[in-house]
Amino acid sequence: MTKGFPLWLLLAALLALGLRSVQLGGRPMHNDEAVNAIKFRDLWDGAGYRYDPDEYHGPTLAYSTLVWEKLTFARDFARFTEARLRSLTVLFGVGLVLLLFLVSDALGRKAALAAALLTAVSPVMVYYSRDYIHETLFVFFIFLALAAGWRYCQTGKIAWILLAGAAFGLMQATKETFVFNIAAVMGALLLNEYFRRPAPASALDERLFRPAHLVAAGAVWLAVVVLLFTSFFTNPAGLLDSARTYLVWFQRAQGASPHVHGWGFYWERLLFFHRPGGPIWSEAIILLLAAGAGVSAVARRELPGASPAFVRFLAFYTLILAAIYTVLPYKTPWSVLGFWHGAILLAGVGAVALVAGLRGRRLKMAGGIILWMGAAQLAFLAWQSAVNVKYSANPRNPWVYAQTLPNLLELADKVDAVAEASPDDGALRINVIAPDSDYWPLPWYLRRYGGAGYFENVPGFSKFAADGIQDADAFVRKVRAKADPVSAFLLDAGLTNNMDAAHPANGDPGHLESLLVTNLNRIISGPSIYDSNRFQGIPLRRETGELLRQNPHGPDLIRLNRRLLEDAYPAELGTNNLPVEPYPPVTILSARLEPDVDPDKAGKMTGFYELRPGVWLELYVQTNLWSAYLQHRAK
Amino acid sequence: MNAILLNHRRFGLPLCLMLGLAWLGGSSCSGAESLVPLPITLPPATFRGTPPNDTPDPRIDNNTNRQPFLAPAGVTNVALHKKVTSSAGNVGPEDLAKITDGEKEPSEENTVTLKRGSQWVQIDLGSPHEIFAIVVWHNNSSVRVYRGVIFQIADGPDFTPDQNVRTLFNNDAENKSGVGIGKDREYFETDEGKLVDAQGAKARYVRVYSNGSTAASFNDYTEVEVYGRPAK
Repeated sequence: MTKGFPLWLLLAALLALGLRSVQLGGRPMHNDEAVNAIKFRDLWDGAGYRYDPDEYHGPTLAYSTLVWEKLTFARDFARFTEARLRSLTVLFGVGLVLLLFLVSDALGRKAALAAALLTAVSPVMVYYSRDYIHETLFVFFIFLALAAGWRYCQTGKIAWILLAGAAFGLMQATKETFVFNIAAVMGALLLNEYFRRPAPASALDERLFRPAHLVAAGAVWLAVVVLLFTSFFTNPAGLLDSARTYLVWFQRAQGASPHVHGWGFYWERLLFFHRPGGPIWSEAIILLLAAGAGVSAVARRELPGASPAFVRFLAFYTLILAAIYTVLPYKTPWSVLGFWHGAILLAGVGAVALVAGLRGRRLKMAGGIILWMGAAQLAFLAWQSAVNVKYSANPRNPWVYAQTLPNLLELADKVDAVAEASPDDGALRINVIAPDSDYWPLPWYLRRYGGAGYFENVPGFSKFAADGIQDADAFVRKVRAKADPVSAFLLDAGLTNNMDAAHPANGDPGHLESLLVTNLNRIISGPSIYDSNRFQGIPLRRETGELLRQNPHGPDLIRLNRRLLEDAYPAELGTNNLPVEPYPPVTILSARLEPDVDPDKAGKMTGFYELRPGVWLELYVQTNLWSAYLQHRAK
Repeated sequence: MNAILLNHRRFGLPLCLMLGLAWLGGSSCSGAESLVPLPITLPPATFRGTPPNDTPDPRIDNNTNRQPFLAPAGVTNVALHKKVTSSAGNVGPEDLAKITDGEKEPSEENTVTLKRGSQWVQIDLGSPHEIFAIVVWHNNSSVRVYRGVIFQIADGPDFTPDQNVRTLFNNDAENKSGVGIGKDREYFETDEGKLVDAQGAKARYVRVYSNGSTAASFNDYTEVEVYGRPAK
């Protein structure tokens, strides 16, 4: 088998490509995929890229996509598809198989082939190779760095260590979590050195690490980091941001995040995951084989064709990385890829060692068959998990996390169908309204609509939201000073109730704003706050005056009260002069905001759509447009 | 000449301003210039990190508390163990009987799944009844919304125009079932079921349509109850 090693490796890569490519656009875009896609749009449209230290990881995904799309002659962003974007991560996923060529003498050729097969069919590797997020690129760059480092150790050629340096730079420019990989590499090298001492010098010979080479590799690393984080010298602040980001992620890693999970989060998904109505998912065979290889390497048992030093290093590296991710409270399922890829490489070694360790031809054959069956089971689960539409966006799948449900595609299709019936078509005005911007991935699906606007609350009408207040502190101070009749009224109405304990001085300015919003919305939801004496001397905007003359009720009264307060405190509260009609032809609204909607003006509520489990959107279409749509459909 | 220059200096600026204003006024009132929409930019989408994996909407509660529905004393579920038929050919009479067996637990055993598309189930009450309320439970094992829900009653089994068909509820906004454009809102499936007020209308047959749900394209029915009494 190993005589045709390149050919077998190519076959494994083809298998990987097949599992990663079929129905690539079948699963709805995840929130994160859509964010990455829309961020890439800026780069594609010439608006450049700026690294954001708060979220969204590094620049390699956007720049790799740019290169890939240019090479494949992509055109208008509106015509981009999910499959086109995801094909980039598919390539990197297949690349993980091909990279095994570089370490075939470290693992042994048979083991490298076994690892190639397991990489190709591992459900988690397949699933996230089909996800337009940073993870597969990240793991590819890690493996490239380790493989190039190994080749340097073998040959002493500077090109390999320069490549390793570049790969480390790319890792850093992909995900902030690269520091964990660096820690794992350092830890594994130290442990390996400790275990190596009594043994004769191995391939990891320190003589090969020439200081000049190391300096050169460091320079390449730095150059890659500087180039990418400064967006090719167009954003010098990006370099500083690449360091500042660790403050944000340090807080997140400690648990300031909705993604805090117990230590068993990853292991349940990898080893035994079952939800009622779903199948049993398990990649335990990989862990068993990896553990066998790791223990054998540390115990200095013979591993056929493999470098004991490399396998031992790999075992320590995987163990340390797995321990770090297990202990960290912040967990997202795609983070397993880093350490699970290490386990897969080890499992390749373990599989070969297992068969070699069996005595007699029949036993070896039986062992081989069992291993092939295990690989087939993984391939089947990979298909179920990533390709089968029944599970690819289903919470019964261990790798589905905060995933958009297929029901959202119905909403996108419905908007397209309604737009077709509108004379405005692509210029159709659409308001997408959801608190906390919880409307993703809709900006991806509505990308062709230049008239789509995105709001946190119902424009032109609705109640206060925390991010709509200009200066909460100044507002509270002004009200407490009671210097004018409106402030006196607000104080009497309980505007500052429960606020003392939540002052920013106590460390949580967000909580103050939240209380303020609650109290403000309570006040404006009551009777009219207008009193001619109270508002004497306050210049009212023309629209406020008009609304006042109408003596409104219901939602319009709330709007009037809000406008009166905005006119009284324009600098502190800001103005709600959103330049849109409150209810355009199409409104997509978070179901949580339904009480804020004026049913007489919003149009026909045509249906509910589930964005993610438990997160619902409502589609409103103005009745004349809905009638036009029904007529258009009837034709 | 000096006087003219002096006057020009004295009156030049106001004159220019007046002429300028006259020109502006003339141009704005001339009607020759076409009007174009202001190039107002709408707020773009705000980027958002990975959302929480589990964020149930607090507004949607499976344990809502419906106010008691008032009906004349003596009114009972007259659909219990009555014959059920359906437009869907994938289920037999034994399965359909579960729809009126009194079991409302949305388990696999109790729930009847009709094929995809707009499908109906129909209950023959055996004789004309005064109907006060119809309650339908589709499948509330998870929060979902059923599409194209229509409640109808009629005097005959074919629901043809000559059989006094009355539509009590219809949220089929696109008229996919062909019985008219629905004006009612969609609703979340809860363990209370969907109650429709029939206001004592007289009929023998009850028909309920649905057209898949937000969870699947199939149609599920756990139970249908018809509260009424034999017509006098």
